[in-house]
Amino acid sequence: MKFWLYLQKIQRYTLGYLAVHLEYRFELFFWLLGQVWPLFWMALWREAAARDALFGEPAAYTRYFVYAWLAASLNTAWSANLLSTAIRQGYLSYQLLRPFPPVLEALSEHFGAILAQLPLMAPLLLAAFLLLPELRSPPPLFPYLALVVGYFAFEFTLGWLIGILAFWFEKSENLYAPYAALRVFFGGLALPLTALPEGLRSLLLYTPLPYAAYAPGALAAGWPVTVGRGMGVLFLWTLALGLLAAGLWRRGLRRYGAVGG
Amino acid sequence: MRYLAVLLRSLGATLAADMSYREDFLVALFTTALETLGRVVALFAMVHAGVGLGGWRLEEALLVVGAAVFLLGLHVGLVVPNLTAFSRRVLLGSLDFVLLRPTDAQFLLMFERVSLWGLPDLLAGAGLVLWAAAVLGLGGGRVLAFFLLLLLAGWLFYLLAFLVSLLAIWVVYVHNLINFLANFLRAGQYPAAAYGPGLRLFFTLVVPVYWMTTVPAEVVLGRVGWGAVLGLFAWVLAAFGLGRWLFRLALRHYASASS
Repeated sequence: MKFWLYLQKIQRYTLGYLAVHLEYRFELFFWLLGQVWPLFWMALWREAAARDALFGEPAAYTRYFVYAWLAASLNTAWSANLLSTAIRQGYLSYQLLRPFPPVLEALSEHFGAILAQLPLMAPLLLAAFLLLPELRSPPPLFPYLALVVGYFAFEFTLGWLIGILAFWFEKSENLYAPYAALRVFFGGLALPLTALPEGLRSLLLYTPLPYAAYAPGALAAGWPVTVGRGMGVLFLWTLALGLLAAGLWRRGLRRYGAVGG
Repeated sequence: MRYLAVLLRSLGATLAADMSYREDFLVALFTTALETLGRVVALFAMVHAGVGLGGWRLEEALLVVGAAVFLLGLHVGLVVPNLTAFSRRVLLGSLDFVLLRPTDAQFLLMFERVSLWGLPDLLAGAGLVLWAAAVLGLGGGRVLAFFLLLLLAGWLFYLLAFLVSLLAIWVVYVHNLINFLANFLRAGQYPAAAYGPGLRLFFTLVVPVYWMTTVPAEVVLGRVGWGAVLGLFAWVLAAFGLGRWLFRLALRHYASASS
């Protein structure tokens, strides 16, 4: 069975990449620290909630921002960078020769890096738990994880699609940057989407953006979220982009000249 | 004079290298436009939702946002390329070549290169400042003073970032550490008074972003006297002096490629 063989390979590759990333753990730790800036926004909102200027208590905002941040650091994908670099520098050729699709190798690299991140996150989270007791009531585990995995699948697919464009443009990873900018401000990291005008918010709910950080954060804060609808939206987007990527991948490979080819 | 010639030569060379990826530059412009839009929408939404900005009006706070975006442009355009190159030089041992030159080593390291990627943020920041100034009805003299103060603030940020990057002599790889510093500028995009007392003290005395973004705005708005500028000067002098001293100390610990 090919499926089981691939699954086994994903597991092996993941462990390999885990070892690689653990080698650079300090670098990874600083990267992680570099991701904590949305928590400055938490300070602003908590401050306002404590003055009774907002609906809801400060504790809800603490839970919102911390769990939104946690989700966003687990569901980020850099597949655009991996594929675009592999195409530009030509080592995609080696990957194509292996009896293992390059897309699964990139997926394993993500798994490895995420696993390596967990022990580094632990002290940060532990400190947050000690300092902010309201965090000790975590969001419902299953819907939270479902959103994290569902959004990761979308972003990985989007990144892969952007990476495929490097077959034509030579360098495409920077096309991910505009999406990342949108994700910060309209994905819920900078502010809960409840603060946005009604029209804009209902429009955003049809895009994958709010499920990156807003929906997981809102789950933790105890605000109403329809997880089922979110999963549906994410599934449809992932399916559409995945089909597009599959088509472009075949055309791109025909264009691909490798180095000197 | 000689320093100016060296400066122009090295900056010109790195700009030319950046120009070879023109499409990337368009993407960077587009990204900055989206980011700026997001920042402004977020600011409006926050004020609308009731997140007070420490008693600052929206257009006054916009001045602070503009200041932070402008400084982020300096960070991307000047601080990151030079300091990551410094850490690379430590890794490769090519720091020796800089130390051998008959020009001040710290100057060469700090002004070796410039990146075009900082330009969109500089433009967006300046645009926000001008917009806020127009709404507030600030005169030309005050706007000019604001930009001069911002340059001073940028210099302070760069000196502090240089201090941190000296760690490269010991730990070699500091790219992410330097990126981490931008977080404080992002925190400084709101008036310091919007934060709680603990963070406010931290931003005033430990990581002085209060002096970099809020003080220039406070001075031109007349919220504090021009004496506050002296505080900014004092920070710059202290950072410069400490930087010179620590640079020499760090070099004594630098084991070059050959030794």
